Amino acid sequence: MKLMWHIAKKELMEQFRDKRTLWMSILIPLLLIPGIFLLMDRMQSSDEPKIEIGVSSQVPVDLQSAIQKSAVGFKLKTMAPEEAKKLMKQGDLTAYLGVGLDQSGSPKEWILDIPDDSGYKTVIQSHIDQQLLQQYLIQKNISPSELPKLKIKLAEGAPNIFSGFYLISLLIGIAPLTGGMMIAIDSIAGEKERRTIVSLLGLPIEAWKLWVGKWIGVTGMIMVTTLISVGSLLGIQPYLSKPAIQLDQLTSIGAIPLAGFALCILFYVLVISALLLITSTFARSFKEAQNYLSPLMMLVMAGTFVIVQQTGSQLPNYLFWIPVWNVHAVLYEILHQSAGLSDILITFASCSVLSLGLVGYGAYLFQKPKYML
Amino acid sequence: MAQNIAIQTAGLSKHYGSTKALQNIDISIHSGELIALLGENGAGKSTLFQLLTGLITPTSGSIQIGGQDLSQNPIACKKRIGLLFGNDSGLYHRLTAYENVLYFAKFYEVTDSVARRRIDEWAEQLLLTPHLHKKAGDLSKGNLQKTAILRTLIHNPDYLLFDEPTTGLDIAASLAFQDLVKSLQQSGKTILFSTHILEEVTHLTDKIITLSQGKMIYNGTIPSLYQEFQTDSLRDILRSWIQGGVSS
Repeated sequence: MKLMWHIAKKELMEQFRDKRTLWMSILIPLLLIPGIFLLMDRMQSSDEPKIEIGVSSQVPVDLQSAIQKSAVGFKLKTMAPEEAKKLMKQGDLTAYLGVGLDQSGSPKEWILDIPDDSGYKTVIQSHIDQQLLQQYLIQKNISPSELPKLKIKLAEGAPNIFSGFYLISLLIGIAPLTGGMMIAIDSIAGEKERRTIVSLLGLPIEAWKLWVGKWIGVTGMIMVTTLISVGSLLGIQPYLSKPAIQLDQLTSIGAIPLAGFALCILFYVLVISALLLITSTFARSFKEAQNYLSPLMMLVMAGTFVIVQQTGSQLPNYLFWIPVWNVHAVLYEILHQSAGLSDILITFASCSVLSLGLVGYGAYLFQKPKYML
Repeated sequence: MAQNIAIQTAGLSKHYGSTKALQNIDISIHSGELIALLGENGAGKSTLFQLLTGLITPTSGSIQIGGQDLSQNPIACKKRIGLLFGNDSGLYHRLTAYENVLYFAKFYEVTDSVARRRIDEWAEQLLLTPHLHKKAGDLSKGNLQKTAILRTLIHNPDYLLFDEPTTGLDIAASLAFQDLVKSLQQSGKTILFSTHILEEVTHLTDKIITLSQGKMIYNGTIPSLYQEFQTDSLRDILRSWIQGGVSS
């Protein structure tokens, strides 16, 4: 065990001195994840619709100002009906509010001209209607505050976990793969390419111990990357104007299911690190190993896409028997607050059996000169 | 004086499918001997080194290292061997020379304090001290090879296997290496080294093993070879072997 730890330490030390690995495993999750979320948040905030409404000069000024104030982003501009028609045709004006006058020159009717296919039709209509109604009430000496207020109450439905599941699931899928990729490839395929593998295999230690030592190192690196990635994802949420994950929703899940999920991730990381290292054991060079990783990544990611299409709070049982995918399934049920102990136990069992099997297979391959020399 | 047999092979063969990389090799190397392994490219020299170090297993035959069967006691046998390759230093480029040697020392159960003392001693002898804390990737070819030598010697092995150790080295580094090999032999080490440089052979030893097309065609001293061929040119003898082919 001491020697295996010695090997793992050396693998980690080497990787922490490699700029590529530092970028892929530490800096990208640390900087890129919060950066992307902040950028998306800023873009969403600055993307508020700007609705330009042309207004006839005959529309009273106090009504114009009420409409202007009635919704963020409304911009009113006084213009003649002909000009408004032209601008609407060009797509430079969203709507036009005109007024029909009676013989005495008093407003007889309000005319809201708005293209039928405008996405803002309902919004504009309701705001202007509301303002016109208020004006009417004031004219009739009825205070709008005397009217009973309409209270809108949303019906309580299932919690909206979609964005939370999608983001955490994708991150848990991608982070271990990207974080462990460089160290896994470098520690076996890289050794073959540099021919250091010969010195290594000539050492007085069983080959399987060498492989397991490397596996421990890869697992350590993946754990670091996964923790940084999940930490970055969750840590940035309070700073967003529209958080993608509701942290209070996560904390309300409870300590035991969260601890169960953390253990599931640990087993998942063991499987991923073994898979990455086996890929590296098969490959003769760095490049060849990189080629093998694309299908592996797709296979892992497919779990997220399969589960995201499921409906309801409970998933079919078979999903918990499929290692790797089952970790995403547990996450789904945990967010729905419907995760059962048996589902979590099945996930532990299938991932641990698979990781042991993969470690055995990888160590076996490592002893074969056909793959190593 | 009766000498112990350090390395012995009996009926050693290695086949890769229909390719016979090595056929029926019987050699006995006594303790303290310095033997040069000669042969053209593809003669089987590297295969023999790989077999002797347990990197590959023989198709048939046996290997004894210090009286122990390599297939039965690979760990014990490997502990007594120091392996050095010329083309590949086998060092990790992101670790310093010092860290590289310490890393390998641990596998041979050499304690840190002993390893550090040996590194300091050997580094001084090899003129490597100023470069010990540089990353292996920043070292010159010569210093890289010196570090590899240090790594090979760190566990004070009884048997040294050098596979074309001077390949890629400049003249000064090659000569320094030859001096080192001589001093190692004088200190009682058993050494088997392969090379393509005949001057190196004649300067270092008078005992050679020659392989050609996977077969051993000579195992003896250079003077008796000269006597047999009625010439004092090793180059001419080897040329005649290679051009004439090898009778099976």
